[in-house]
Amino acid sequence: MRKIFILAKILLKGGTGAGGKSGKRRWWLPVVLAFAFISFGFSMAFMALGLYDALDIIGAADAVIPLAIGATSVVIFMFGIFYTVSVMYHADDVSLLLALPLKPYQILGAKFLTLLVYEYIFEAFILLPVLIVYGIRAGAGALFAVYSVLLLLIIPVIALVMSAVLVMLVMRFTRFGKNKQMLNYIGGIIALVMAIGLNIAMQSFAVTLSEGQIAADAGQLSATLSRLFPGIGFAANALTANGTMGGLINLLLFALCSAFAAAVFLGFGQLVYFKGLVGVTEASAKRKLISYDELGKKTAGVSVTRAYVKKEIRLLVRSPIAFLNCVLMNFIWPVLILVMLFGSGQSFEMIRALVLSLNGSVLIAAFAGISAFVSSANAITSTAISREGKALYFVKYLPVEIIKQLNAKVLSGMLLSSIAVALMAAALIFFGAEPVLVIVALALGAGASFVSSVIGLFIDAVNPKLSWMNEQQAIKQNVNVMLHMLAGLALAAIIIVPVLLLDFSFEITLLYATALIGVLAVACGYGMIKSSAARIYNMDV
Amino acid sequence: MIVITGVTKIYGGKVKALDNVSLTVDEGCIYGFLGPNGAGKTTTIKLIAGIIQPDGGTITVDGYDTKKEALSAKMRTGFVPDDPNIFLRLKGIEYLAFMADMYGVPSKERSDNINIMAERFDMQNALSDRIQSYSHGMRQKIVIMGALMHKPRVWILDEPMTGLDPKSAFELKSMMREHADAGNTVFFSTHVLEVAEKVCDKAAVIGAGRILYAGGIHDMIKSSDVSLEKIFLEMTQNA
Repeated sequence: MRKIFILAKILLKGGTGAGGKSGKRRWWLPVVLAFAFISFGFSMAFMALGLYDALDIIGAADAVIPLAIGATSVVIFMFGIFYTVSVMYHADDVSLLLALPLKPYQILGAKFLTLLVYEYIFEAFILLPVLIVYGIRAGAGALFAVYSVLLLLIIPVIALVMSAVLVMLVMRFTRFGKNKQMLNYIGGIIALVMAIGLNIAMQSFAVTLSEGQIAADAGQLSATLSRLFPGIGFAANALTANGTMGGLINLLLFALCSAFAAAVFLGFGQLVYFKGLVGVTEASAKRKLISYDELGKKTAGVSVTRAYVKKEIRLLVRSPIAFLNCVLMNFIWPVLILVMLFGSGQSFEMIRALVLSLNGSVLIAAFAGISAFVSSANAITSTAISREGKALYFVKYLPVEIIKQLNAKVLSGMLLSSIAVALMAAALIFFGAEPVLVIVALALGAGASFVSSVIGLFIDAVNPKLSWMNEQQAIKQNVNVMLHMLAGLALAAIIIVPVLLLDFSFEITLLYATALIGVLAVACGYGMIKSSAARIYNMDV
Repeated sequence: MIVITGVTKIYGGKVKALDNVSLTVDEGCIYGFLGPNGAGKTTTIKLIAGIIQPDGGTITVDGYDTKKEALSAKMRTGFVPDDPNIFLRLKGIEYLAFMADMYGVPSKERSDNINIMAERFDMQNALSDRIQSYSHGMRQKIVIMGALMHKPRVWILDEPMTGLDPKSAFELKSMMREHADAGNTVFFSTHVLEVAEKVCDKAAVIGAGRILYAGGIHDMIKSSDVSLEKIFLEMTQNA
């Protein structure tokens, strides 16, 4: 056990996200994070408040608790899949750890603890505000607070074990060919598809609730929830009945279930983890001679920018961690939006009616705003410098201006983001939006995507995480990614909110969005890239 | 030709890595750069390659100031870093094509350049594979090939022999000799004194950020009765 904790401590230290030069403190970071946390927490709290009051009228206020725990578990499960693939299989430290005299369960235990810490962050955003609102509204006592703290610590275990076991199964039993790298991709994609499948299941579950069960008591809801995440119902019951013996028993039962889940995970991992790991770090080689003609074709000259963008995209696509987090994300967002629409019980005709009912101004503003956000959510430009790691010196010895190289990095981000933007546009056309409107929306979306991509690059250039052991630390454990997402959200809000609040006409919206995106594009495209280049130039790498 | 004049480099405002270093690396000779770990070898090489900027002094490469005329200086330089682990997910051929694009090598010359170097380094069969599948020595070779794709006049190599098999080390030494004999500049750092003794015409010894010796390597040995190793140890111990 001691070894597990020592290893977990080291793994956590290696990926805190605090990068850049040693000794340089980012005083503003806690402020930004606190602001983000408080604003998101408040919006969650307000949602919970609305839900509580609505359910209270029909005497089912307690249903808030299982709903919140269910939603948290789904989020933990989904992110858990990404995290376990990255942390348990694709992290470069795995080969280092394999050489140490450690048993599989010790490595797994330590990695699981680090994952648990990351999941607490999601919990703090989603579940904590709901529990606070419920506690205040229902006039719950100190025991509720104690139970809440204990449960907050235990709740992620079951969902995380489920995702980790799923990933271990996929990784263990899908590697049979020669190209193990390719299988890693397939494994990651299968896990992702399953996560989306579960999301759809949860959505339809929620629909059933809205139609009938929501009026039923919280116990019924907890039982249904337990079918999705075994044992989770006990957690909800423990909280809603915290003053009774039943509450205590439920708490103990839940702790037992979680301990059992952890034991299953470690036992299962002891059996399959190492076997699934074999070959993960292997790269296949053909050792094939290239003919002179072929050589000429493969080395035909292209422009500096084209060559640079090609290099960036090749590296993103060929690294499993970058592929899952940066490339695949661009396909996932539009799919997720569709899943949310269809899953919420809307038929094709209803969505079509919804799209048609949107006025032009809302449609173009929303499209541009979502494009800005999607471009910030794929972690491409916000890790563009960090991904270079210790090889950042390469950028500096090439006979190409740093500004030109950074422009190519932004362009690569934009090109990959454009997949998501194009898919969204195609969906709009499919649902019957006017093609002219979609073209206008696409133009604004491209501009917003550019601004968002440049902001990401700037965030990363201000404090790149260059000291990493594996790409997973550069991409997944990089605070710049979250800062960029927040900036993307803010940009989307600046584009969309005034249009909605002030009820802009189409002409005014077009003028407003064009002027705003235009000014930002010039300011960011000139100022931020120049400033980023100057920072890199002055870095001692 | 590389001319370093009064260069000082301070890291983080505190650590003085180079202290008023002046050095002239002539054309037509192989110039070795010797020094213990942490003496300032890599810092000097990074300064010449334009990767970091000096806090004082100037550096010119073939007459071009590395600060004011950075791109022209870089175009004349072929730089081999001490760590060959770059762009591991690119194929060897893709890396070479990328370097050729960055240095603007005409398409017509590329195939010939690659063929000649791949034959000398025995890399013909590896070019279509990802660098990730290469051994350390093969990675070193592909980085050297990338650095020499544009036929630079000035070669700057940081520990280039590390990991190379005997044949490739011999080929690299021969290439360095041919390049220097054709009137070009070759500047390389090494820890291996035997290599320096056999390959270099001239050498500089650096210790604690200061140049302790600069001149003919055989003059240095002749002036004393002891071995190069002993001279090196005495020099750097007192630095």
